[in-house]
Amino acid sequence: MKKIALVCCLVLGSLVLNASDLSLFKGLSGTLNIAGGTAHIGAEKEAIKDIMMAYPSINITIAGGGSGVDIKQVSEGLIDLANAGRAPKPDEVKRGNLQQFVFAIDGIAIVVNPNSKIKNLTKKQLRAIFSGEVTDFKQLGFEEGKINIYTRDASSGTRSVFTKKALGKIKYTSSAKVVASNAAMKTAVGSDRNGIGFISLGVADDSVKLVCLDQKCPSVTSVIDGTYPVSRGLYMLTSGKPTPLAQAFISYMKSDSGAAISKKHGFIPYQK
Amino acid sequence: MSLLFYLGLVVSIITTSSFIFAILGFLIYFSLPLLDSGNFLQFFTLSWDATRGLYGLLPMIVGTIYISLLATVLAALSSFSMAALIAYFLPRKYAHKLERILTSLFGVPTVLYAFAALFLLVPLMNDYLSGRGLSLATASFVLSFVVMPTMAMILLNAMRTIPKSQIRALYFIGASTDDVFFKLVMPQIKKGIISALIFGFSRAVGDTLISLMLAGNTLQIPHHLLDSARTLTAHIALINASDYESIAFKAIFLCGLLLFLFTACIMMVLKLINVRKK
Repeated sequence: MKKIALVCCLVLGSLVLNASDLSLFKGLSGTLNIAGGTAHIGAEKEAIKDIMMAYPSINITIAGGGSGVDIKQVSEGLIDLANAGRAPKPDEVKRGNLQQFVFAIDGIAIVVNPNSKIKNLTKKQLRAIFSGEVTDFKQLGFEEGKINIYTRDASSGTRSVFTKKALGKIKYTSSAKVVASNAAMKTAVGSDRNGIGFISLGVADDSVKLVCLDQKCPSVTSVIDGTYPVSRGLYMLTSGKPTPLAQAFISYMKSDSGAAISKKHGFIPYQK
Repeated sequence: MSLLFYLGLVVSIITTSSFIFAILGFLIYFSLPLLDSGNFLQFFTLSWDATRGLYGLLPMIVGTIYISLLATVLAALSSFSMAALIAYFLPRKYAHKLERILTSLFGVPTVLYAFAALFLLVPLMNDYLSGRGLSLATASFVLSFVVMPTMAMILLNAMRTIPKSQIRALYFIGASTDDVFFKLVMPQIKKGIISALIFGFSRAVGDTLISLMLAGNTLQIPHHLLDSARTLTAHIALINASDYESIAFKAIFLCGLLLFLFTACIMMVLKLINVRKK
């Protein structure tokens, strides 16, 4: 009996919490168009579902496309809010008069096929792989197998952060296969025994295996305490002052409800 | 009334053709800064690496040609047998059913083929060919399914242009279906075969999604059927748009122009063949 009461209290409590955060949208209506980084989509979709169920007069659309493409789109006023998996460059900020909001922190993990025996790679090994210096896992002391490298296109924020923080200055080998989103990376590496790539920690699941970098393993805790170095803020960008609806959405993603959603999707909420 | 009809014709011709010229003009206008930047020839070099200032489109051009050609050849085999079966070899009842299936294939969105292949074919290829799933061979095999209905329809129409009286006459003197097909029909539909090939090829050149999802998109010239490749269309879809002042971004207009010229050339060839046959 006590248990049931407790559960009831918890449910009610969470409802109240939810309702108060959702009241950010009170009196608002219209359309909000969001596009950009593919890492954000899962968490934001869930938030959008809650918002649109509570306020049917609000219509929010979300699309992928990569961080770079949508920084351009928001600067030109084609969308209201851009998702970016990297900080915008100074000249991008100037060109689009961009305002930046971070709602969560995300790690970027090296991934291999779940059947692979690789547990740890050093930065040096990683650089040798992605620059094409080694073409077989045997050369690195692992089981034999021709390495198949998967990377993202140049407009990807995940790729630019991964390159900067995990690889340093390297030239990607021209035999690297290019996939168009975090989800496509999961499918590609998940179906290739000798595949290796990188992915947003929030998107990763059992279909791929996370690899430690220099004995530092990617996880929510290791990203929070800073031991895992390859991490980034998940940005939302507007051109100029955000519209009331965009402002409400940003506040919602930074609220307790938004933080709960971010956490559920493997990100670290950032509410400041 | 007929005046209104002709007026409508003239208006539609003018609008469609002006649209096409507008697109061409737009592509040329945006490619111009590249054309007179002095390093135009650089775009036809071997490698693309935006970080090092190399903007060679040759890997993409070669990839486009390989994938489209292979898909056309594969589709030619299947569509030719399909059309021959429907037009001459199957009993009427089955032929009719097969034709229905063929026409319904026109409506299948290409992304469905790509998606199905990504989850069924690619893992299989990865397992047996050590990770060569996303390759030229996969992309062109799946692309051939997209091209096939177009080619089969053109072939079917060509096969049906043979006058019934000729066919009946041949049967009357004791010929078999084989004789009718190989001695009477085949020599007369050469033009149809060529236009089916050319239409199929231009359809294959234009496809984006299948090559984007299945060809692997590497930036190297493929040397082997199981190498990955990138097509011009996939390149446009993938290109670095993060900095739209960059040469990399401007180069996609050149890609567009090249694609336009590709298809224009194909149409031209088609016209020339038709003229010569007359």
